[in-house]
Amino acid sequence: MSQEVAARQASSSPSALAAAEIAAEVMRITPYTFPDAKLQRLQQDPLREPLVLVACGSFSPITYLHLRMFEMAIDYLREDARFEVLGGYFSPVNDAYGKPGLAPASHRVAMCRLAVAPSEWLMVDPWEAAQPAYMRSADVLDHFDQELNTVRGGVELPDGSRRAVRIMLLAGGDLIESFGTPNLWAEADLHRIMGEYGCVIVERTGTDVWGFLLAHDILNEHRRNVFVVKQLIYNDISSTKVRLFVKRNMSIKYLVPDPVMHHIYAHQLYVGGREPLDAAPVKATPVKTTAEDRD
Amino acid sequence: MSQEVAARQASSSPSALAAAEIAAEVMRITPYTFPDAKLQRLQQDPLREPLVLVACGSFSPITYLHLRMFEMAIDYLREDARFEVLGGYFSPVNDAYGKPGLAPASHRVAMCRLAVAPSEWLMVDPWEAAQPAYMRSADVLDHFDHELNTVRGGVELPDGTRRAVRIMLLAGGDLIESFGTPNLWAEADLHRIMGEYGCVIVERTGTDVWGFLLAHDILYEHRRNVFVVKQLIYNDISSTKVRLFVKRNMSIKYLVPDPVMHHIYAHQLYVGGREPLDAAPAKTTPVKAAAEDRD
Repeated sequence: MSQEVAARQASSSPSALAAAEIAAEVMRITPYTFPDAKLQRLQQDPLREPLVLVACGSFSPITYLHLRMFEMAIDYLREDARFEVLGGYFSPVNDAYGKPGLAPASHRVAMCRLAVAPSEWLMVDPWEAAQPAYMRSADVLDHFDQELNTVRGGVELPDGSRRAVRIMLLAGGDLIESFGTPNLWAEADLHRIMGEYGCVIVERTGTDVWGFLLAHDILNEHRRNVFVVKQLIYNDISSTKVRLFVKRNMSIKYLVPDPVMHHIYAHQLYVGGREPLDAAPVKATPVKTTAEDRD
Repeated sequence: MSQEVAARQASSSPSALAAAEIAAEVMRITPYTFPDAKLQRLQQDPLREPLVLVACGSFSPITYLHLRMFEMAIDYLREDARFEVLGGYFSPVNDAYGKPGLAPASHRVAMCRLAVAPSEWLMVDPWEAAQPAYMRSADVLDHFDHELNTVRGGVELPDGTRRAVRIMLLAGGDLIESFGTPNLWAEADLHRIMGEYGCVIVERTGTDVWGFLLAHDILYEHRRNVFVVKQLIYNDISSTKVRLFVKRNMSIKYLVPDPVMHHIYAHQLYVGGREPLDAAPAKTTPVKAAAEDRD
């Protein structure tokens, strides 16, 4: 069965044998195939630009905040008549990232799959996680461009012609903050992500994102490709806190979807982890992309 | 079928006829029977005091924040070795309360049932909602005392003896704030709620609840019956905002459980509501209970 089918079935109450088979399938990341089951193949409105959102991050674990991020982005983009969203992807970071609290990639991918199973438009791409080494965000976006446009020829329009799909990085406010950290981003990568692709940033009410865009040279240069979505309901469900709650035997129900919670308990994730007392990553090597600072 | 069974089945994909039947059952509040299907009947640890938590409120609609409130309370009480929690109840306020944004009681009860269906310990009591008039919180607690202790004889201990179940009001920080509002609470009611029963208050990090307890005479007198739980993950999912999101055609996914969301859309709740520009309730009559200020 496909991993998507397995993830959907994981929520029902299968027999023990079926449950084990489902669990194995949900965690499988190789052999690799690009997930496109929920991708919209036909564009409805030819006046809009077809768009796919990609969220890079640790997702250790994925939380309701991550899921809300996509919902807020799609509300914003629907209002903005320029875009038609064809699908959204979670791209969990590679284990080589080495950040504290990072559960093995197969588990993080599995939890994301369990979380998006009920969604009509969200999918999980394990490509980044399955690579032999750490991948920069710009390379991940290139991979989506390859799969969506080169391999699949973009999207079909009502008149039968085809058009390239635009890909944009979706991220939370930590992304903006990370741009100010010296040596964290290669300028060439920033130009590519912001210039060739674009970025949708979900920001908390009150943060002066536009002030930052004004001050940062590269962001300002590409400000027309940067879309800032105000988060009207302040939600502080960080993965770090969820891991700590698990470690301290506190409830994480209603912070993450139930199937994700069951997966964490079934595989005893996060029970013995060492979490840093502050939120800063342990190592920051040059040319790393932003997944680092975002839970 | 019982309303609990109907609520659980509402999440699957029944036929249209079955779906209509399930919907009708989930919304039914008369004839009244006290829900006790998930109530723990046998106490495990005789050294602890058996406890049931009751949350009074509008729940229009119930959100993940309300559900988290119970989870945080049970974490706290589990740490505190004095209590063993036997069950938790949502008690939606009566329509006669007249607060703006209040969907009809049958809908609010239905949404609560849909929300707690997957929970092993949370239930919904429609008694307050089904009464012919507005009920004060003290009277609602009396009703639980009657049902749990007078009618059912309390809980059974391992040695076969029986013991009265303690009932406490569970609420968010708005409860504390409301105590300071003149004429909102009858002193006699506060003495009864705090003195005879007790209160578990989930407070946001940083709010000076203890300072308030120090200043308020009646609360201070019964401070040993007031348990303050710190909310470590700040979550701002207010029902008011959820109603506004619905009105503005914005996504409420991952703010409320999916079955609650589907119920809102299926019955077109909140689409035309008039919401006040501030959070204050439209009318405050004396001797109203704290439910008013809490979503």
